[in-house]
Amino acid sequence: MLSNDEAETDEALVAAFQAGDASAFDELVMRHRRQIHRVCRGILKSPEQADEACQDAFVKAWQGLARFKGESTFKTWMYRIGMNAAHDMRAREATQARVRDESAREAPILARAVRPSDPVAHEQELGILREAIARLPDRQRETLLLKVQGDLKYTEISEILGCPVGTAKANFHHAVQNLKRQLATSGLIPALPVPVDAAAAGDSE
Amino acid sequence: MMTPVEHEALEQRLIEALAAGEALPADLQAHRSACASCALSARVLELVDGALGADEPDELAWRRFDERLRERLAAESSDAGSATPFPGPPPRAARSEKHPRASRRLRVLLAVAAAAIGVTLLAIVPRLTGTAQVATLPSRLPVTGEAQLIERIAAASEDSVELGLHAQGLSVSSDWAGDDASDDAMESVEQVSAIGMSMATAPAPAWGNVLGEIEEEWGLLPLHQQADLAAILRGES
Repeated sequence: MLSNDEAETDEALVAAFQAGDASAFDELVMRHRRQIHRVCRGILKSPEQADEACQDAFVKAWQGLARFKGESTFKTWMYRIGMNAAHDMRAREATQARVRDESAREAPILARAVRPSDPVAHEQELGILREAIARLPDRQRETLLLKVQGDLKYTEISEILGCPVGTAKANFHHAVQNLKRQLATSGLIPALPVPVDAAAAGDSE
Repeated sequence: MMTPVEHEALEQRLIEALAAGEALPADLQAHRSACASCALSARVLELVDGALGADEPDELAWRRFDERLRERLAAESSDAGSATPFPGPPPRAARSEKHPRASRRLRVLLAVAAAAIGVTLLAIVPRLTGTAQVATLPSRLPVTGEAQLIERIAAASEDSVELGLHAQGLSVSSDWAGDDASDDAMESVEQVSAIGMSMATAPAPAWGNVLGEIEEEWGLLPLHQQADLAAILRGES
């Protein structure tokens, strides 16, 4: 049985699980569930879908962990599973939505945190933001989520998304610029200032 | 006067530092205060962070999440009576019995077969891109080999071509490959072969089980078309 030593590395926990210590998986879930859930939430439309995708991701991880060889870190491996689970959920939802009555949704697994002070305006803000994030091209959105929510390095993001490091950097930068434009248009942030190069060009004219 | 290139480099450093939650060095702090564009970038990151965490589960909800996960894992596990917080890992012996590992010689033969499948797929992809069609498969797959099987699946759905390409090891995670082979592509060939043979010989009522095996074997690959494929194989689309 593992101790509850916070300093225990993911790799040590994986090794313990592979050696038969099932409680090691418990600790891995505790460590990563919040980030995986957030990334799923960024891809999916509802928190309930994110709950399900996060569950699916950990079930798949549990199924595959015995054969995990440690050629990537557990964290990046887990993120990849989480993103795949979210994409699979989105694809399933798209299929099912054609024949399903929206009102017949299952009860959510997770209750939301109670936020009595949330004003309507805040909810509207969140809606605008989520729509803006949803409108990003897939790769930009995924990179943004992994960078902001996952606190991952570009090398890790490139490994998860299967792209060069430079592409991950560019996608993150473009995602932020894209959101800036969208949020300025929707009035959520002030209008963008004139770009430096455009201002310089204007000065010279 | 800062050039656009210098500005972009500073902005990139700034948003990366903010995204990583790092303390800003003096030059970035000063730039953030002075530059409206960069201040907006920083604000966007704050908003994104807040939006994604806004409906995060609370502690009680996480406990329910854990309970549900334990139930699901217990259902998956042959060790349902485990007293540990989460059930133990799936037994490896049982898995290897389902798909006995091929001999080295067989692997070489499978590699040759895989190359043939690859050529077939590459030949049919252009035809499919223009005319994606959905086929209804008969009650029993009239094929005897994985090459024909994968070709049929690929022909049934444009999306499923991706499955076929994955099957060639083009996007296979080495961590999801088998235990003792160094060649990832070879491993994936072996997996596909086992799956293909299972599907080719399975009667229709057993397809559900075979699909379960596919999900088990390929569940970690980016197969966004699993649902479509399942529907096709069940004759539902």
